[in-house]
Amino acid sequence: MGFFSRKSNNNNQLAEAKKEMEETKVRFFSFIEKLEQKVEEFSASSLPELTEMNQTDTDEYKRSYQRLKAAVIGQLDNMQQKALEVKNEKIKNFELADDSHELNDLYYDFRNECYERYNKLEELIDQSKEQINDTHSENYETKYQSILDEFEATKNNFHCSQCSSPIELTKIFFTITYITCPSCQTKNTFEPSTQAKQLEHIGRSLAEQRTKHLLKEFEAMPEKAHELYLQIHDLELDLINEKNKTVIEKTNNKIKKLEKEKQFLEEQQPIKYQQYLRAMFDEWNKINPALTEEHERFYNRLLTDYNNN
Amino acid sequence: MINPLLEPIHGVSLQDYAAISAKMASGIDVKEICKTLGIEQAVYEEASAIWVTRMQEDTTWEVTTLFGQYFGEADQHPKLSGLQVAMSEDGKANLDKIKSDRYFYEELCGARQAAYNYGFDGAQWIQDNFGITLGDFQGVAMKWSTEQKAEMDRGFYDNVHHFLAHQEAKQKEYEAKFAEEQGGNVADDVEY
Repeated sequence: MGFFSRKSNNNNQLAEAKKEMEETKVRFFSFIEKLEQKVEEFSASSLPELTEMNQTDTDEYKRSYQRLKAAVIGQLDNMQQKALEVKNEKIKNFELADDSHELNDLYYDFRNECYERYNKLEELIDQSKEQINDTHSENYETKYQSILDEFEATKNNFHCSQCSSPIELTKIFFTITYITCPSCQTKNTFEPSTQAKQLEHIGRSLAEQRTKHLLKEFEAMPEKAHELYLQIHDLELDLINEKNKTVIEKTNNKIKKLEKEKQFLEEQQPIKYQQYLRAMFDEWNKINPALTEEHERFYNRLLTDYNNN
Repeated sequence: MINPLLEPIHGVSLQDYAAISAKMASGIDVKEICKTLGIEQAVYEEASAIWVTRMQEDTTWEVTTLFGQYFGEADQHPKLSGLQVAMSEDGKANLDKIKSDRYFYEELCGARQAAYNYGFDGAQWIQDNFGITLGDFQGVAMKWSTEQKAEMDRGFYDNVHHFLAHQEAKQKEYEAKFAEEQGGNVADDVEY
């Protein structure tokens, strides 16, 4: 008799726990859905405003735009934090009546479903943040062109402070430089404009912008290799219960082909990285040749870091 | 063996360069700094451009690490220590406090991040409300970050987590304050 009443009690407990978990899940899903709507609405309204501000903010460091962007991301973080706190309180710390195997199984299913739902919100927030960060664009070509135009306008307009003879500026100076007058040998101080002083910094950003496509190609390679790995893995799983010899042979051939593709891709990765790096530094050297030697040492350092990791 | 990348550039040592950077970040004019140090601005500008490339080149991180240390010790630089930006009495007291009271330092780190998250220029907000300039704040940050690294090297992770938790709690407090001032957060009406 005791055995049956204990079993009945356990069944009741299980049914109650199941009901409670189901109710919690429904509430949690609804809560996450409402947050998702907020994320979507908020991002949709912020994106055009940020894009416009990025274009119209004339400040060198786009401070107003940066502040707004930080605030938008701050609100998205706030929503994520809110969801995380509820997840921890209601799901992670969900109280179980006992430590039985059945109840734990039930709980793990419930927890996994809720966590998956939460992860979708996180993914959405991450995507939104990416879109928000993408609203930032700097036109380095324009900035560089402006430095070139300024150089063209000033290169024949610099005169000796002592004898007034013209002194031709033979290159873009980005730091204060002493130039000796060819006529009277007086040492003149040439101070570049604020924008010309940015040449080295703009040069790197512009070089990176011009070679971004190569970096993207390189960065996409590990994911492609992983996709191939998954395809191979799926085919290997298919083979476990396969009896048909023709199918086995075909699948094995397919696996071999994919493995070759994957191997090729992996071998190409360091080559691609070097291609990108070389192209980027070549651009940078063209923009600011004065520091070519230093750039080259930096290039070697980055390549060494890559090869060592 | 001494790292050749630490050799002075046109007489400007890494300690000089870091102290100049710290003083500039405090809002002191570069001309005044160069004059006090006894170098011409042209020399500083070229040295500065090359010190940046030395850091890029250095695989040991020694140059960057020492730069951070010297930046935090700018007030001990033999020639530039006396060069101070005008500061209110409250600012001086707050600066002394963040140097000696790690809880207060972590609080201001949290406050600064909270300010950024609510659309303020966090560094400016600290200056406006606590009278501490970005350069001074960063100088103190270097000191605590060195201390934290030493704690981690000794395996004192609990202490590191303790202060991190304090900073997070304070950030939340300030965020709540900013949110209230701004009429709430976007998702305040979403309840579980």
